[in-house]
Amino acid sequence: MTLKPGRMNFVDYWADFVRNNDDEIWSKQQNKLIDSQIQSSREFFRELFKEDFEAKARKYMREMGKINGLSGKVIPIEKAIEDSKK
Amino acid sequence: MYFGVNEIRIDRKVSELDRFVLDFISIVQNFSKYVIINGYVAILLGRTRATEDVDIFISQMNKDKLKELYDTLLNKGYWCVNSDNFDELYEYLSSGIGIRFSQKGEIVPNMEVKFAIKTLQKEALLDTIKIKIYGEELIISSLERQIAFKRYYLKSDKDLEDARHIEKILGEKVNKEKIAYYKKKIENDA
Repeated sequence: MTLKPGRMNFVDYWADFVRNNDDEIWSKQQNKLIDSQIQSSREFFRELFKEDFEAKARKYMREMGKINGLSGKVIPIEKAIEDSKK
Repeated sequence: MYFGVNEIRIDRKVSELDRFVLDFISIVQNFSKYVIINGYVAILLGRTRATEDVDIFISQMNKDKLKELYDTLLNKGYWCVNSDNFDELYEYLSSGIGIRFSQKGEIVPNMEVKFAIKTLQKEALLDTIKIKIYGEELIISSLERQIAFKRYYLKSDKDLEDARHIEKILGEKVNKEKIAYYKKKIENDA
């Protein structure tokens, strides 16, 4: 497998930016991306599993193949939403 | 970013993901050796992507010691996504299956913890680098090992990009012989 040229160029561009700038500068930019993704994911799952969070979250993670040794079984988010109502 | 001997100092602003990892590790390190591997290593070094899960290996430990760690994590506000049954969790870990912890009421981000069982996993605990972020520390896998695993074992677009990023950040400091060593090990292990 080889990297797609456009993405590879961006990886190189950003790595150069990280190397040539103070940590505070690049990390501030990077954190905007990371923090916003984490916050939106958290809000999404809190809303999705609001009652009985742990049982529903566990079921979802199991069906996603993220826990207990299962792997690769991805379920559509629509099904997760439907299941969360049960 | 300052590269010392087996040590990198990063004066970075701490993200929510970093805070989650630093807090979790501050507990785990009291019970076991650990090493952070995979995507978070690249992110720590500046990669422009997020992740919802962070992978670590810990040393194999007996059931009593793991119970102490487990109870401490629960008391500090974490929950185990896999199960509430401790005996089951110990079985998972002993079988090489990871168990995930997140803060109570969340599943993102989560920490996937595995026992280092196979030879290559045990080696990861020994070939490490210390990352210093102001007053706090994290132990990550050697960067050459990460490059090799991402490039020759995992091989997804995301992993190849991570490997490229890490290699570019290392620049002339990259140890190509070490990457080749791990490449060979991965091929022999496959």
